[in-house]
Amino acid sequence: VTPVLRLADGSETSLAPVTIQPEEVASVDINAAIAAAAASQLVGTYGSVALRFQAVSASALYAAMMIHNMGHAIAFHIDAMGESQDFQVGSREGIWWLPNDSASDYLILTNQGKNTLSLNLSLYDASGKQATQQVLLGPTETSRFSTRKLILASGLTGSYGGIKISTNTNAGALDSLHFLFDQTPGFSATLKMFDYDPNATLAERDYAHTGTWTLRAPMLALSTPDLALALPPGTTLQPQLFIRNTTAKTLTANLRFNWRNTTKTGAAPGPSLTLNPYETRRIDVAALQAGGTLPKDANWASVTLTTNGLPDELIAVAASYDQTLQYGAQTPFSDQLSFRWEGGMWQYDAYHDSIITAGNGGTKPTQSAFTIFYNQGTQRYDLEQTLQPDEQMWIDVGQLIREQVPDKNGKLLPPDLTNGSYEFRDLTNTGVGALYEGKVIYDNTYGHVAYGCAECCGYGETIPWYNPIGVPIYTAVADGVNALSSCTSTYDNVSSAFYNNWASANTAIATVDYYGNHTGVAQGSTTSQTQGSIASPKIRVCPLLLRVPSGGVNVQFPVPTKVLPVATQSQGAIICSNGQGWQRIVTNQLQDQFGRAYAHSGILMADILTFGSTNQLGLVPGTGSSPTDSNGDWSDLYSDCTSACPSTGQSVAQQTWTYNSLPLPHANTVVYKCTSITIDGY
Amino acid sequence: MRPFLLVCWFLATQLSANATCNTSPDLSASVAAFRVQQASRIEALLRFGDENGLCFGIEEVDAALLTELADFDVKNSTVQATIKSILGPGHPITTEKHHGVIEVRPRSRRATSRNILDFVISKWEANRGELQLVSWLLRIQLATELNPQIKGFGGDARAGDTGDEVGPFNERNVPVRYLLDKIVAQSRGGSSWIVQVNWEELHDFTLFQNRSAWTIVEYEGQKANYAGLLNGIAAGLNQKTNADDKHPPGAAR
Repeated sequence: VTPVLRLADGSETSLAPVTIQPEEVASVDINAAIAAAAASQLVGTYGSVALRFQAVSASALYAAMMIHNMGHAIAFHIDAMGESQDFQVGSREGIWWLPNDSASDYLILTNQGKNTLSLNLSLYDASGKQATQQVLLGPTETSRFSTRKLILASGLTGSYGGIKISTNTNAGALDSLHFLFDQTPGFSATLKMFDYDPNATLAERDYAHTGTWTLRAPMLALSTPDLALALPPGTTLQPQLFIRNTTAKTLTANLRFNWRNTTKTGAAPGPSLTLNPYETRRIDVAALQAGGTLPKDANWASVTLTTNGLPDELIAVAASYDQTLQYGAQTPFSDQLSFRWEGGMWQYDAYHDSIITAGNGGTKPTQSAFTIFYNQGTQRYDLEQTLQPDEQMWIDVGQLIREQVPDKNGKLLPPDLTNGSYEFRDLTNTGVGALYEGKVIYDNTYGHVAYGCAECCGYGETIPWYNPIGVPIYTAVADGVNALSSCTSTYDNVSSAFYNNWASANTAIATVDYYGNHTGVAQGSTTSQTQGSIASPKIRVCPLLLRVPSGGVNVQFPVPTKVLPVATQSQGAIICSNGQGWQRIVTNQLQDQFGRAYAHSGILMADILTFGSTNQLGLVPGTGSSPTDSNGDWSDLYSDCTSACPSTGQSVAQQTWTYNSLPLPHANTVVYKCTSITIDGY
Repeated sequence: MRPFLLVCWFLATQLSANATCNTSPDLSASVAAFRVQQASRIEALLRFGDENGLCFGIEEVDAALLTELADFDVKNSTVQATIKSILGPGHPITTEKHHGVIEVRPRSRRATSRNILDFVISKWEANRGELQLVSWLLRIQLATELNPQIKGFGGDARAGDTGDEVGPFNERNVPVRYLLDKIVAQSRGGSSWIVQVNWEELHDFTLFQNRSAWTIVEYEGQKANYAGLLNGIAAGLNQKTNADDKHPPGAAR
């Protein structure tokens, strides 16, 4: 991976490349790298970062910028995001918030593409009153604005409202970041921005199949902080949500909470809202706690927001800070559920700890697997938990290390472990997945909590298990669907996402049932297909896109085709008068062209062995015959004995078979050695 | 009375299930009844041996003996007479007992020259092992003595009952037939050896450098399905061997 720093004008400076092993987390100290690159032109400036890399897939790399100034309270964690070529018309949507009169803010716009972006930058007050200006952003350029100044200049008032940056071309090249800081109390906050794609459909983003678009924030810190955050005793947070309608139509929103403290968890309904066009509403969660909607001693809540709108027509930002703004935490809203999340860095040392969570956003119980990777990705620590709907798996990484908690295999994390990466997997749901996730890293010196996001995995190519699938007549053969994971570049079985949609092109030749079982009706060839929506690896989200895998179907009468060993009964060394060798008794099986047992008894199996040019043991063949049993099996004694043993030599024979004097098309390769005999590699 | 009869029936069943070769078979012993339906003559002989703890060495077979089905119903006879009845008047035989095995030979062949079963193995040693493996070791010993230039053998053969172990053997100057007798006599459930080449081929020693002259059939009780195996032997009898192609390099002719 080669990090490239771009100045605001887009000019680039490459830093030293780093190689990252599978599941490894590598840190690049930008200050040190700039010094090493002797790039003094970068000092005291700003711009964007690009990461150029070669990997098996674009999803193989996860990256985040962690802006820390050691010895100061302010910290930002910024997830990297690539350019999306297929996102043309759309906008970035955000919320501005000025919590006091002294906080500074930056709205940063970056053009990742090669074409100039013509942008409309609109600001809204809480009621939806709008002020718009034009912004041109050249290729790879970065611009930064102060929303405080823009609001003052536009005549808008209030302490919060909306931001929209829209364009009619190359919307996927625009990235934006909005953050606040106030050096006096040591305050910093990131106000997450969202892509709004007017072409996005509910079906693409309704991961739990509820018919309603849903946003979740997994880790809202409530009024009474978790002791694990190590905030000063007596600190009271003021959790609040900002919810914004990004459209010109009225939208409704419904809130609910799943809270937890050190001993209990529970659910609580929240308020229902009607949001006017472009309106931004503040929800005082602290007041809900004070009013008894949520328990006063609850430490955390996951927030679920449902709407009658389409994806990203409603956005939300959460913030929980004390009155001084010195101590606080945030949690990002996202609609994404996934079968697999690949996380970035967690930290645990004298100054930091990390809490990571995954929740079940689906409607049925699911089995969640959590893995910590460490030692350059070579070691792993695994936990599993069954999660009811809305239930969360809650992992305090520091506690696992400090208290030496064994994983599901009894493994312990090294006591001196300080960082690594992580992963969540949904073991129950394939193709779509029901897990949402969250992570916070908190600084126990300054009481600052920064969140980070993991990367959802999606599927590329979808293919039938077999193409063509061979089906014996009058017999059912299971077929399914495999899909190529964008994160692992391996094929996963996603068949359940394609149930109830299988169809045969010619039911007079083959039929297909709900699960993909193909049954041969008449000898011949046809095709079959199914369809289903599974997570797809777009640059910025993993939407559910329709896939239609198809393949050929060949229906045939089963005929004996090959002999394969299906079990080894015994094997060992033998001695004969002129030497020594090896004997191996196997259960051989006569199989048809579909790889199934040709289960008929009394078929006479006879073979001929032909040794080829590789005959270092100087063997001559000796064969016999045997009848099959009702399973198509028989016990076969393979053996060699020669004066050439002991040695490392080998003799290779082709073993051709007849069944009831008729030839089989498949010949086995038998490798005879002094200490082993293998048949077709078995 | 009833308990006594039950015990007797149990013992008889147990003896039958664990039948081994009678080390001193009495050919004049009485046979109250023997009945088999739709079996070849060789299969009937194997079932007779299985039921009565008799092991056979069958020195000549033909396709008819191996495959033609008939019903057999013998009552109040002797072992010797039952064997002759099973093989039928078309196959007159003589019988000899060696090492607890009843060797069955065609009467008309007695005067002919010696065959491969008469070949004397000068020295044969084999560790205790599965019966079919020991049979294979004897086979390669025979081939090696027929052609000392053969370095070794590799092959596959029917494994049979992998729990049926015999040996060890350490024999000097013993004909093949008697070594086969000794092997089957030790079979835990009883067995018989059967030649699997026709009579003429049995006298062509060069064939047996890479081909087995016999097969050993282990008794498997009532559930046994010998027909498949015997059909295989019959099929082998019909395949004319191209001896020229099969002779290993340097083989004696």
